[in-house]
Amino acid sequence: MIRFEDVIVQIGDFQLTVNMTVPKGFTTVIGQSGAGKSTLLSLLSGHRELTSGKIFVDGTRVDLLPPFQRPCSTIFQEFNLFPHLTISQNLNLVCGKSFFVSDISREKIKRVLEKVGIVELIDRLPSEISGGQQSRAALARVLLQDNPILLLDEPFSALGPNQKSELIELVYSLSKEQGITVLLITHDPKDAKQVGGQCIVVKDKKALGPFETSEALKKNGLLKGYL
Amino acid sequence: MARSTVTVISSVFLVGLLLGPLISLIHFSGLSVSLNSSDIAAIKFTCVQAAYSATLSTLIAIPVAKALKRQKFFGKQFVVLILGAPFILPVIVAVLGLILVFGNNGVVNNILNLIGFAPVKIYGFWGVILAHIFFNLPLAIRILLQALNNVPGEHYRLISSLKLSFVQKFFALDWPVLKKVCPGIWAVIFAICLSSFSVALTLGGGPKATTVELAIYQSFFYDLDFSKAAQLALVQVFLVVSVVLCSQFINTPKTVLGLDIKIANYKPSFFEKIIDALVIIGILLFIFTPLIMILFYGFANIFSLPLSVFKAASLSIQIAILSSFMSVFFGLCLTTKMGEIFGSLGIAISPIVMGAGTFLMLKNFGNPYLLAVPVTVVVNALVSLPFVIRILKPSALEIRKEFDNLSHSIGLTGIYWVWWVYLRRLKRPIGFSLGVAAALSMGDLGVIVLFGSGEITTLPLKIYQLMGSYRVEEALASALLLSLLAFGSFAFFDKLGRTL
Repeated sequence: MIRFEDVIVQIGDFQLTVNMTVPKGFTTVIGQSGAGKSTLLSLLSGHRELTSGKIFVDGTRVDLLPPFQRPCSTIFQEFNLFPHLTISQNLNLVCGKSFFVSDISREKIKRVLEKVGIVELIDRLPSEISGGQQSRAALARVLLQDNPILLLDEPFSALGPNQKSELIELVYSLSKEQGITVLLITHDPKDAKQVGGQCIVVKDKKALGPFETSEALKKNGLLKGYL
Repeated sequence: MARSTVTVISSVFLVGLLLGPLISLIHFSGLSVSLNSSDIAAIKFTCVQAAYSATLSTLIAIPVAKALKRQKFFGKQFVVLILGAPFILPVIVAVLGLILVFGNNGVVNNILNLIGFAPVKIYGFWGVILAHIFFNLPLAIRILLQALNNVPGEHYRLISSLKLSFVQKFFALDWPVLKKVCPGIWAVIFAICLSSFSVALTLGGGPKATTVELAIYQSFFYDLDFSKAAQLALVQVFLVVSVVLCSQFINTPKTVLGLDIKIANYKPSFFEKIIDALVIIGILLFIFTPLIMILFYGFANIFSLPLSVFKAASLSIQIAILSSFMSVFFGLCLTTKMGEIFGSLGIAISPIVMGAGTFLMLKNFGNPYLLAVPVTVVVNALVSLPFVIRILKPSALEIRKEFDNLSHSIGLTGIYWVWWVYLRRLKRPIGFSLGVAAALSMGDLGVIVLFGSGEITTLPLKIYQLMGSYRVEEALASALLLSLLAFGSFAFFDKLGRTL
C-alpha cells in the first residue's frame, strides 16, 4: 500500500498536491499532458524531491531514501536500456555489482527473458531489436529487480495499438503472478479500460482518487471532459 | 563515490599541482619584481608580437573562411579537416618547414632573388609573427567558418536575388558576423601568442626578439639567476591572467574541433570564384608547403639517423603515453562546469612558468634534473587538459542527461557506473582526446628544455640540439620522424576509440 501524506511539489509556477492511499494491484494514472502524471511517479521513484509531505510504502517512510533504495522499479518513456550494452549486459546491471556477466547471472537473465518471450535476443544490442522487444527487455529487467512496486511512465506510447495492448496485458498478468503493485501512466482512457482496476486522475493541480476505473470512465464520471 | 566528490578531489589535486610551483616562484622572487631595460623590452616584444600575430591571423582568415563558405568543390570537407593539422603539428617541425620555405636559402628567397627582390628574413620579429600566423590562422579560419555557417541559408538566397555591389554584400551578409566573432578570435590568438616559447626560442632571440617566456629560460639556463627567472615568471602569469580576465568582456568563440558544413543556396559571381580560388590555393600552399618540404628533405635521411635520435623518440613516446593517459584521467574526473574551470587553470600558467616553479620547488629537496621525466609528464598532461575537457564534456553531459534517471533507478553508481556506462559511452571522445593529448605532448618543447640534459632528451629537444649544431639533414629527418609520431599517435588513439 502506498500512502501520500499531504504531499506538495512546487516546480516554478507548477504545483501538485497529493493526499491519497493507493491500494495494491493495478492502478492507472490518467490526466492531460502537463497535468503532473510523470511528476507524481517521480515523487515516488525518488527522481524528484517533495516540497513538503511524506510518502509511505507499507508503513515505511520512503521519501527520504535515494531512488535505488526505494522499493520501486521504473520503466520510462525512453532511455530504458543502455544502447551500447547487449540485453544480457543491460539486465546484468540489476543482478548484483559485477564487472562481467557471470554464468549464474546469465541463467537468471535467460529465465526472466523466457517469461517476457525474447530469450533468443539475449545477446543483441537494443538497436538490433524492435521497440516492442525493447519494452519487453525493460520489463524483464524490472522483474529481475524484484521490487514490490512497478512504475510505468507511458513506456509503450511509441508502439502501435496492438503491440501496446499486448504489452499492457503482459504487465498485467506478470504483476498478478508476482504480486506487484503497478502504477501505469497513460493519456489514453482505453488503456485504463483494458485493465480495469483503480485509476488516479491528475487534474487542476491535484492527484485525485483512486477511483474505480469503470466509474471514472462513465458518461458523467470524473473523466467526462477528458473523454 | 559521488561524481561531485570526484570532481572536487581532482580539482583540489590540480590546484595543488599548479599552486605549488606558483608559491615557489613567489618565494624565489623575494616578493619583489625589479625589471631592467631588457626585461621591459621582452614584455614589450611579447605584447607587440602577440598583437601583430592576432591581428594578421584574424584579417587573413576572413577571406579564406568566406571563400570556403561560398564555394562548393570536390574535397572541400577534407580541406577544412586538414586545416586542423597545424594544431597537433610539433612546433619545432613547423619552424624547420618554415625555414625551408622562407629561410635564407629557402624557396621564397630563391624566387625573390631570381626576380631581383630583396630577401625576406625568417629570424627575428617577422619570423616569429610568420610562425604564429602559421599555427593560428587555421584556428581562426575554422572558428570564422563555423560562424559563417550559422548564417541562415535564406540570407544568402535573399542577397543573391538582389543586385548588390561587392561592398553592399559585405555589409549585409558578412559584417554582422565578423564584428561579433573577430574580437573573440583576436583575443584567443593574442592569449596563445603571449605564451610563445618554442617559436621565440627557434626563430627569435637577441635583444629585439625575446619573449618573456624566452627571457625566463635564458635567466634560468644561461644566467642561473633563479630569482630573476621567478620574477619574470610572475610577470608572465600576470600578463596571461590579465588577458584572460579582459577577454571575459569579449564574446570569446568556442574552439572548433569538428565542423558541420551547411552549404547555402548561393551562386558566387565569376569574380568571386577567381578570388576565392586564389585565396584557397594560397592558404593551402602556405600551410602545406613547409610540411611537404619536411617530407621531401627528411625522407632521404630518416633511415640513417643516429641511435641517439631513436632513444629520444622512445622517451618522447613514453612521455606522450603517460601524459595523455594522465590528462584524460583528469579530464574524465572534471567533465562538469566547475571541473572545466579548474582544468583550464593550466592555460594561465604556461609550461615554462610551471616548469620553472617546479624546478625551484624541487631544488629544495634534491636534484631536480633526476625528476625531468615525471615533471614533463605532469606538465604536458596539465597543458593538454583544457582541450581534453573540452572534447569530453559535451558527451559526458549528454550521458548524464539521457541515462541518469535509469542509472539511479537501478542503483548503478560509482565504479560500476564508470565501467558499464561512462567509459563505454565515451570511448570515441576518449580515443580522440588521448590522440590530441599524445600528439601535443609528443611535440612539446617547453618544460623539457629546463629539465633536459644530455641523457634525458626528448625528440623535439634533440631536433633543437641538431639545429643548433648545424646538422640540418639529421634535424630534418628527425623532424619527419617526429611528425610521423605525432600524427601517428593521434591517428592510433582516435582509431582505437572508434573500433574498441
